[in-house]
Amino acid sequence: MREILAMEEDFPERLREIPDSPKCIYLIGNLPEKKEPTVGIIGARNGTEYGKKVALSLARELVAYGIGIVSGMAYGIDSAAHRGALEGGGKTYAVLGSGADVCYPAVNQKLYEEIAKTGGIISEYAPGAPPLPHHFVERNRLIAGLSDVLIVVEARERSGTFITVDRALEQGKQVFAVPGRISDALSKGCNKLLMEGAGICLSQADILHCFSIEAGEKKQAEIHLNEEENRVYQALRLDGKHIDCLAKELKMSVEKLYPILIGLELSGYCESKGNTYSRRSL
Amino acid sequence: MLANVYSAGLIGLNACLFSVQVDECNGLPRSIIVGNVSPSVREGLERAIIALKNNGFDLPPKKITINIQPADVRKNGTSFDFAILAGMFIATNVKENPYQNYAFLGELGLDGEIKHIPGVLPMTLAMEEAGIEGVFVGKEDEKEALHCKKLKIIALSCVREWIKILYPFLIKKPSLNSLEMKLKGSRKIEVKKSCISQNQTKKICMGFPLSAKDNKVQKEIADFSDIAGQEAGIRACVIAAAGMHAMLFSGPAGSGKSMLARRIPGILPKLSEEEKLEVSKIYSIAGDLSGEEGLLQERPFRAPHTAISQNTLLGGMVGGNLVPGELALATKGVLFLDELPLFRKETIEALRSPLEEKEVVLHRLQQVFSYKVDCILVAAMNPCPCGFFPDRNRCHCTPGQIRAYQRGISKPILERIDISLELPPVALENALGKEKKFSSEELSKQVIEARRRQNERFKAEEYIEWNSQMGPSELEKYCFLGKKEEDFMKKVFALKNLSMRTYHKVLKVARTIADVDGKEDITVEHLAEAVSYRIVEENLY
Repeated sequence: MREILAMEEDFPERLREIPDSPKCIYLIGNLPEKKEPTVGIIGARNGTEYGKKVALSLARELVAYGIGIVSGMAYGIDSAAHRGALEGGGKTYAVLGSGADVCYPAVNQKLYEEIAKTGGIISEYAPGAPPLPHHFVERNRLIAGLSDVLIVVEARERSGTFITVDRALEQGKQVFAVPGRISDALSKGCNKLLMEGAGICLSQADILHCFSIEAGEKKQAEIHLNEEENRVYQALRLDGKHIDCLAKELKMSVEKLYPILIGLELSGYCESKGNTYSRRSL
Repeated sequence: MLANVYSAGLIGLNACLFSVQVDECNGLPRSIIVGNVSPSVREGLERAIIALKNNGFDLPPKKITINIQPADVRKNGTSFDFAILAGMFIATNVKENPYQNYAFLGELGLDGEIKHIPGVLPMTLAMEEAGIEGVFVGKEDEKEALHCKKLKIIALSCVREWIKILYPFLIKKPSLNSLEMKLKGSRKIEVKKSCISQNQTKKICMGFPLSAKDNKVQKEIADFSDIAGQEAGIRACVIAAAGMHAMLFSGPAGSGKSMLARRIPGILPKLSEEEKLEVSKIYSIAGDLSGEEGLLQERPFRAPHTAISQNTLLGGMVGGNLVPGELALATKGVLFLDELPLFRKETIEALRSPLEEKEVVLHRLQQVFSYKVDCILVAAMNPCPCGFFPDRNRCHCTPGQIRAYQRGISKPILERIDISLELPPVALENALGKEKKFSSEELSKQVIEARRRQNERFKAEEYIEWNSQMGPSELEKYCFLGKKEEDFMKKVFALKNLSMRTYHKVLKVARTIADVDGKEDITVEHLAEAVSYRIVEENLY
């Protein structure tokens, strides 16, 4: 772990500029480089499967263009964003509300280690500091500070996520929100942000636009599926569908569906959580 | 004179024949009972003496010794009362026994009434095996005892009737004892009103949620055609029923977990006569086989409450007797544990070895009892404390809460459950709409066919009846995988990060799925379905 004081040359330029800049930071791994574009992906801890999928997918696509992903390593959307970045083989940075050597929540230990290996773990609290509630409110300004652009994936109407959004706006950053259905409690916050003028994030191209990066022609993955597999694949969505639901829609028996879905999973088109199946990417 | 009569008692879940010897000799007047007896048996001596007196027969002032043999076995319960009385009567009063090869079963009242005892069915079966000719039992126990085809059953309501049959000359003049007359007139009403019948006491001690009778009524109306949707759940029930696999449902409140479980006994084949006797024996010991109904006709469905203790689940001692637990009472049927994470930790963990070894071994009061586990365990749980996860519009549980809730079930227990499945929430329009429905009759045909295949397969195996009981050596013998299937398993296990222990479970379930589909070889399709039934476990840990 390294301690970097504000007066040192290595102290990140991005954090020096923000109001209430920290006096020093503790770091495991690396900081985002000066010229490396960064995107913060944040959202609810108890996000839906759909929300987590979106965060994961966005992060995975963005790192392909050399963009670093910043988030808070909390449950839900945060973790999904980090995972997506790691899956895409990119760099990701976690700003913690505890000491940089304290993994909180503890279940993210594996994720924590992987982030430290390729990206960086950043904290303004001394090593060993416990994850106190007010720490998270404070560290949110660092997440906003380290990101050039902020994306809110899912948030309730009253959510801690808005603290980060407010800090980002104070710091003059651009904020995007992922729209959702008006009836979903976890999309209400995002939709409200959109109403107040946030950017609409429909795909990674909207974000790349901010960095003046031309979104590469998305190479249409060649799909080698037989007719039956294709029918099942077409019925899958990004948010999961239970096998019963698929069986009813496709008028197929469940015992016929199981092998097809496992087959799709083996060839990387589909993902399962419990007996709920979803598409792997957007 | 020395008299020798037969009786029977319970040792664990088995009945055992005992002989009661009574000797009368000169000495200070007293009566003692020997032969490693518990207080409940010793009290029987007092009951017998007073019952004799109240029927007009006094004991001579001599030393009376009673020995119950084999003397080294601990004896319990009140089943010896009648035999003690009979032995004493023969030894002291009549000095001859015209019914040498007959046995006596029953508890006595002080007035000489012969009362119900638990375990009459296994006791009479044990007598039949030992070559006893006939048995005297109480009126209440007649129906139960009549299931022994070879045994002569003589049902009596009081001791006086027995004396009348055997020695009519002794009861010519009415008894002079006025107490007996009084009792005779009022006995029926007074006794019944003032004390709870034995059946009821047992139920209070054990906290049985359902008696065999309630069970029957429920079963008659439960058919799978009542369930809308839940195709995957129903399919899993068929597989579990076919191979006797343990099963876990995880699903939001109101998704029909208990509905599915309750309908499983209905798709199992009808009990054979042999199985009926086997199950009824256990209910008889539990005192839950009501005399009027005779043998248990339907497969049991036991649904104990979450507050149940380890002893009630596996079997424990009540008043010195081993009382069968829910696991034993569910023999040949279904044991349903609803809201599994809410059960006490030690209760769930106690299921580890029964699920693995299919046998329960209990160490109680210096004795070791064991019995076979032969039921389908069906467990159900909500996905989170509020029960609505993953519907985030209604569920506000934090990820930590959800994890803590789901981890109420330990990994070793999950690993011993062959089939785990997530059920989707059922929307009202689905419940009302024209969903594809399955009738129990159709499903039961699949189960019976799969069971027939298993019977054929395991004809040569001594200890194995169902696919779920296969060990590693049998798996090698009966679950052969071709090259294509092996490759598939390698790929899936790498993808899903499954453990080696899971491998055997998947093979067993795949074997049953192939049986249900009527196929001799296990194919990729069967394996794919079997793997899909392990996903909940991988999700939780």
